[in-house]
Amino acid sequence: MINRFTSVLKAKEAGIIAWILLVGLVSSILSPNFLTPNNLVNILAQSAVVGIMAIGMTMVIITGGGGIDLSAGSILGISSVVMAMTIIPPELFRDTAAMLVLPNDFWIILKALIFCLGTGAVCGFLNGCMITWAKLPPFIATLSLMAAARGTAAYISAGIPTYGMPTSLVYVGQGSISFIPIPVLVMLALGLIVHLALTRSVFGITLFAVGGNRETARFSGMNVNRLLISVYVLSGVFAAIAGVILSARGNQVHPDAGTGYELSAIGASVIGGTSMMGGAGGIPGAILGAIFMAEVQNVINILNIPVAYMKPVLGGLIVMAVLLDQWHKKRDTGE
Amino acid sequence: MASSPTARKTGAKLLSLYDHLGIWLWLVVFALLFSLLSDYFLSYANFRNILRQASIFAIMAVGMTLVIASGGIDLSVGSVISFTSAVLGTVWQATGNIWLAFFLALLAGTLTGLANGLLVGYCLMPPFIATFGLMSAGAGFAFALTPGSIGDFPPWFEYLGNGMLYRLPIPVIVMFVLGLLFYLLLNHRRFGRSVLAIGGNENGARMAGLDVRAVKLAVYTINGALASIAGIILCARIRSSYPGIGLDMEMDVIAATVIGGASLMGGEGRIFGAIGGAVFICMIQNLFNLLGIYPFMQKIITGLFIVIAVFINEIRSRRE
Amino acid sequence: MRRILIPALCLLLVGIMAMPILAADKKPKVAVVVKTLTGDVFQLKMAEAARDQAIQLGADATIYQAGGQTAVQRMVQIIEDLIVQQTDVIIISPLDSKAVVPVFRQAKEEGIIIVCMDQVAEGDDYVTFISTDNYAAAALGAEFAKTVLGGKGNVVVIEGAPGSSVGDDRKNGFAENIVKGSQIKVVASQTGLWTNEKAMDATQNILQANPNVDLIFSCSDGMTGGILEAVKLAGKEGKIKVISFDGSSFGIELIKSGSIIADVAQFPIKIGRMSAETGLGVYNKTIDPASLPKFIDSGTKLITSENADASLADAF
Repeated sequence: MINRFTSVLKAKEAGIIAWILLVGLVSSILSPNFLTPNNLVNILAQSAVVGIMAIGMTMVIITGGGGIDLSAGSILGISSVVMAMTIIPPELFRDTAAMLVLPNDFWIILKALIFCLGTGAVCGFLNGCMITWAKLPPFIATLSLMAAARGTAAYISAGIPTYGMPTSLVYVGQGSISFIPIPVLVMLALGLIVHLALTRSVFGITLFAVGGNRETARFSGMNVNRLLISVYVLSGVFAAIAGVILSARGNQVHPDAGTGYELSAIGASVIGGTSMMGGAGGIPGAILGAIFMAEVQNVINILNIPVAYMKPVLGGLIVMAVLLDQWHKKRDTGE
Repeated sequence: MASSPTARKTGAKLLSLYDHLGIWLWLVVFALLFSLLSDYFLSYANFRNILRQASIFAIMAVGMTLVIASGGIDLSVGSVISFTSAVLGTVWQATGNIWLAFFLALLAGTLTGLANGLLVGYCLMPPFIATFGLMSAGAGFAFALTPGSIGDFPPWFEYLGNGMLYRLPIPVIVMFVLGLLFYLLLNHRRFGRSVLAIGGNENGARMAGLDVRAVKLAVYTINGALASIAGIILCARIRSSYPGIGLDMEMDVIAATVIGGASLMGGEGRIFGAIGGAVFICMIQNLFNLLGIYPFMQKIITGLFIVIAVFINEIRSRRE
Repeated sequence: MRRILIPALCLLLVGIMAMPILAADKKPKVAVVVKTLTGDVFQLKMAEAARDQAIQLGADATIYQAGGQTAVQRMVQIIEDLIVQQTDVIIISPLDSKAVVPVFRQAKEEGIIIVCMDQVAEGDDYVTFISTDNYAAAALGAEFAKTVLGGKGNVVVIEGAPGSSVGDDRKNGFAENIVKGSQIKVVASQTGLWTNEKAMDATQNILQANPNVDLIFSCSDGMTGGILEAVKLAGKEGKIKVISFDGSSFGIELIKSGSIIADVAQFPIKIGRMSAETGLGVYNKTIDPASLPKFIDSGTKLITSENADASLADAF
């Protein structure tokens, strides 16, 4: 028992877990409304969108060589717009309340979901091609796609947000299975799959090898380009899934949806112990990082902190979390 | 047919000239193309506009070049601009002393840079996270200081942003002076060599006895100071302060720096390249405005232009 | 391969951009400049109405966007480029009342006619300002809320983005008038940043902290969808009444379906058309700028279930 306890303390996620608990403890002292089952479920549900994006982002950052996906937020936007455009009949196009009246047609919804995830995959593939074939730095390649995808999303939606979705889709965002919201289940399921893939499969071994030292990986016969492309495609698909969840939760599709979410996802990955230098990191940490960020946001709202201090509090806590985590690690390795 | 030695020599010279000019050569090519597209493009008034618009990004890009050359990144520059602007406005409103406002605004930006430098240099935080934290903090504090805009600056203050000296806008002169200063610092001084060495191989630099922490501290502090200068000029241009003014600027600045030939892996950076990159980005925007391209298309085309510009640089460096 | 590809790509881009060039010498040039067109149906419809009306009146009109609620620098850049282009009329919704003053002065010196819509600028370089009176309109909503609540209860305000004068006017118009002569308390007032998601998160969290909320005032239809979802998720559907602002067709549909009880309407299409007419009128010298009032109220209306169907006709 004690052994297991110390092993939890030494796990690389220990730092972030401690932070989540610490902030939780302080908040429940400050406000009686924090520590209620409802509110805790709330926090989890609010973390799902960033959490799902952070899963893809973590893989991208692990590839190293400046690996980063700045386009994730824009991919979220464009794929949810594509989804809405597939559902809405052309004559209702440009009507803000178009989808309020739409029935649950299984085939149309399936088609919309396929197009949505397909858009994410295509965007990710474009990123991968720019990075491997044209050898552009990932920062620049994904930065340009960030602009282009956002522009395209605005273009095809004519800039108009649409409210209301078929109720079966809304269920994906708002429903829950025995008190656990479906977005949380999706996040956990995806996280588990990717976690297993990273820890127990050839894909994971290749990913960490490429992230650790790209040249060595190449010399030992690994197909680095194929790996890079597949990782960016996955990141795109995950952003698209996050798009479905976000639209379904808010019951609205917005061409500007997900703006700035890429930075939150990167923040969640790094808070969770993923190194920006590549080669190290993990999915559980990323998801915990996303939960931490949602928790902080929730506390800020519950305590009615003035809006201007929201961002400073969030930024300050992120910096402190990473700082203390680093100090903790350094002490452990005895440097 | 074997070419004569002189011809080969001129060829090599041309190539090295091409490498030296980098983005500026492409600026000329694109300017020629653009002047075919719009009658208004090729005029003194328009170039004055482009340069004046670019000067703010360019001054920020000069600092960003140092940061990127040292192997880092600074996401907080946009927030530094907002924060500087808010401090400038608040102090001006409270005291009515423009010089005090000016000084404190500069100090606010420099201190933000210093905080970045401490976190990155001495606390060994990843630059992305440290500056992300200060980006959030700066943007928030700007609104905390003053939720709205503050105006009524003295008329001469606007001269700093919109004034002219011998047909050259003041911000453009500031841009060139700062550019030259930091070009000399980066390429002809020991400090510059240390920055490049740290960006190229941090462990090697440390072994060679360089004080990596101090150099990083200096680099981020300089960057904060330059961003606040850009912020003050921007406020002068609009003769008011506005707490949301720098939102999202960091991405344009980083793009300008990389288009200009800096490598995000560190160890490489071109001051005048970065200035050229800033001009490039503003020139594209200018063309969109002159042609009246529908806004949604602009983003798509801007993305393509950035890819093309960096791709050209990439091919050049691959050939070397 | 690459040697051919790059020039080809460049040419393609240049080709795409060359398409919209139209040779027009005699027509007056009108530029419609707004904050953002994406996701902001109000601004989009206002801009389109201004452009279409200007074209109908025989002008060349183009829409420009600064690309964000705070993109001051970009908006200044657009106006500077419009001056170089010798534009005749600028119809603009300024991001900030002070930031555009120097560049407005430059434009006026070049003889450009400026009409402000929706948001005003300082100084007197514009000919007129056409807009909803946001404070009075929100007060209209407050009066209705007072009657509905019977003079007592707890209300929540979901605000626009911080620093926006339009948002502040609406918030103040509602919050200041609802407490006058009643026992109503404003228990929380937080920003929804004009977006659906942020409004939803804020409402969810506010409802956690304040279980006894009777009414929510949303400063824009763009946030009301998210607020309603949050109310639904909290299991308070029907118990918490919602009043919204804008009067878009979406808001009216919500009234008809019973999701909200009222919507304070403004008329962006009317604002856009009036702006184009006034600007071109001054340009054609059919309107004397000296006789124009500095502020033209485009009117407001409180939409409830009684007049929802009739209001749908001229909603945006």
